[in-house]
Amino acid sequence: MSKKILVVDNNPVILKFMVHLLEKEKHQVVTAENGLAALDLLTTFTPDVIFIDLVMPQIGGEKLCQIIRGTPKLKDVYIIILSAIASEREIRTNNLGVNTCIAKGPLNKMAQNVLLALEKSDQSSSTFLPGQIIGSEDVFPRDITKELLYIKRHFEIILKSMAEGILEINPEGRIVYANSAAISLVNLPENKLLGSNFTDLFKETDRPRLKSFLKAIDIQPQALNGEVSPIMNSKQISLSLIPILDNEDKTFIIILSDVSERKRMEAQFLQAQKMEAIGTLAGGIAHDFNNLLMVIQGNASLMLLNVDPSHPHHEMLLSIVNQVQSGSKLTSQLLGYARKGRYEVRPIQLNELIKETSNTFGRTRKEIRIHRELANDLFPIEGDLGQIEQVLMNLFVNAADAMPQGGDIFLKTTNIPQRDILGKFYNLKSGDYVLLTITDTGIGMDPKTLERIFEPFFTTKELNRGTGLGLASVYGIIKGHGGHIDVESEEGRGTTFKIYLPATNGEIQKTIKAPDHIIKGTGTILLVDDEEMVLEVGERFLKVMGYQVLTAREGREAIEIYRKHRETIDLVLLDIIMPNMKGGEVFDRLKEINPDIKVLLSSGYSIDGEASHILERGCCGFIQKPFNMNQLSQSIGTILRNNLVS
Amino acid sequence: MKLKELAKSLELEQDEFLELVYLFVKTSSSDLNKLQSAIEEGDSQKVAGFAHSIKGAAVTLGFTEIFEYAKKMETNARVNDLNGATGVVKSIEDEIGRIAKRFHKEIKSKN
Repeated sequence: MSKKILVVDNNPVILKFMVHLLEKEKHQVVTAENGLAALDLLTTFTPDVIFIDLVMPQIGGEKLCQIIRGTPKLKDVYIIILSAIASEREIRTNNLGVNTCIAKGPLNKMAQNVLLALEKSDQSSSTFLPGQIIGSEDVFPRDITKELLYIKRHFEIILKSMAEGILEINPEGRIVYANSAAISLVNLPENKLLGSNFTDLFKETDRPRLKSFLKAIDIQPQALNGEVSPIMNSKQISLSLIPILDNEDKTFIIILSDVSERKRMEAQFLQAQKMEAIGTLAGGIAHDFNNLLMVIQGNASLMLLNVDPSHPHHEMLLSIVNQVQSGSKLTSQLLGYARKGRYEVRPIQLNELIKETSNTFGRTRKEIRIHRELANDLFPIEGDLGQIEQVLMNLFVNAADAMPQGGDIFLKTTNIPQRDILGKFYNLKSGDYVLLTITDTGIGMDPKTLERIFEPFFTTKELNRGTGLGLASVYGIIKGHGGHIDVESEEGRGTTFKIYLPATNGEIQKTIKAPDHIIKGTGTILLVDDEEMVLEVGERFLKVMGYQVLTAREGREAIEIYRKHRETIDLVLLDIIMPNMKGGEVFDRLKEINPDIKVLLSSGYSIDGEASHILERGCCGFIQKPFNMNQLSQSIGTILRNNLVS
Repeated sequence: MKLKELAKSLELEQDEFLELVYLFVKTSSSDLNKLQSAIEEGDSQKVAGFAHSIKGAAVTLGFTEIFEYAKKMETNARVNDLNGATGVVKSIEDEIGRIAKRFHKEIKSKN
């Protein structure tokens, strides 16, 4: 009976011989010179019998058998291995789904065996024993080949156990080999992967770049450079190509590694560096502005004391004071961003703060529904109450702005034990954390906006509605608290902020609100500041509060004055950032003169850094510029309790 | 052995056999060139591979001399011994040359 037969062999002598032999027997014969060509043929041609050589370029015989047996329409095809190495290796016929093996040898013997095998293929079950090889008795023993095969298997094991994906592609760019790691990276079954086009595995936008890379590569191994790694299955992949100039053709070995995680960490690191640099700049500007605002606000409030409320200037002065207050809020946000604004850090219960802030916010925005899912046993966090409140408010306002027609805000807190945070974020200390997620159902953001939202002065809001400092300060405050903030958003699908804050073992304390009026006192205060105007305003403030005032414009002068008037000076109000001798050194020298000296620090910067070190060395307190008379009187009042006028 | 006799021993028609011999001469010559380059590069693995390929083709057509030479070369190359390899290439080349000559003679006599 005539059969449709496919012969796959890279030796033209064998192909020609088989064609002659089989056509003489009236069979229909088609040939292919390697595994890949055979696979191409098999997409349109379904033979009854396939003869397959084992050692071939571009997909070998064993792999070809596996693929054929994995293809439903070819599962009943009769497979005959025709190979010179068949006698040297125990062919795993059962595994490969092979029906018969014939060893290559002198053509007359081979012809007999081929015809015998074809005859047997008609019978319903094979009469050959599994593993039996016909014709091997005529083949010369080949120990050498056995050794070669041993080495080949050895390399196969190495390739299989490598963490990197290894692919081989033919000159047309089609895949002819893939190791296990490559198969799992691509996430396609091997029979689909082999024969498919290499560049098609990648995202469409990456394909032209990869094609020109393949075309341009010479004879030296080369890695694909460029800032952006190509994307395969949503993974960022690094590529190294090793050209193999075997025969006349150039094939490539390609080494693939999944670098998504590394790239993510790199991006986090770069972003952190950028934010740090902008932060330093923003902090410097805020410092100088605070000194200016201090003077304006000081003078305005002093003038207010002497102007009758009926006078037309009274209202103008009030307006100046109010505007300065708005300005001061801006600089405090800048300082927040610059992480230079942690004034008062203590253990706080985040859930309580969330309840209070969201209730207050909810009352002002009736169209927003707030849902809370707060963990019962949430760890306390170490933080500045005012700043965390600022974070929450900023995020609520942003969420509400993203939902002009109303919507929902979901607030959720969870404890994150140390083991769940390890290695997750760049530069985060180990320890337990508290996670707060704030999700809205608003308009969401595109990826470009998402990339920049934490940058200061970046805003999507219309002019006069946003300063571009809200989220920047949120970012700075969270970083300043040793935390981490993440954001996920999709256009039209809302936004989720995830805030991680380090947990603490400290005990929660209740806060006592300070009185809202000037506390008067008596005694002498030495005021030290290099800014002439600040000095003037400060002196006037202190006099209004009832104190005697001595002033110094720099460190040495301050030390000298203190030495002279040590007995009468009750407190030193000391600026930190000064030329020549810095506040810290001045403090140490004063402390040498009088170990019990009372010093209140002031700065346009915040308590972080320099100020906190001085506080640790026994300084009594810190006040942030610009301060008004109330605040200054209260700060002095807490230190000089005995000097107060009741 | 004459080609005619060889064809007979392999139970092949003469024309068919000549066609196979032609293919053998062609592919083996190309393999030999690659083999020579591999020897010059000192790449024993490649030498063993090409020798194996020539050996396999020779055995099917009953060219026992070529089979023996190629087998010797493959054995040596496997233990990184390429000494005298160029000499063996020459011997195989000579054998293939002789076969080619006989092939042309047969073709001429047929015409």
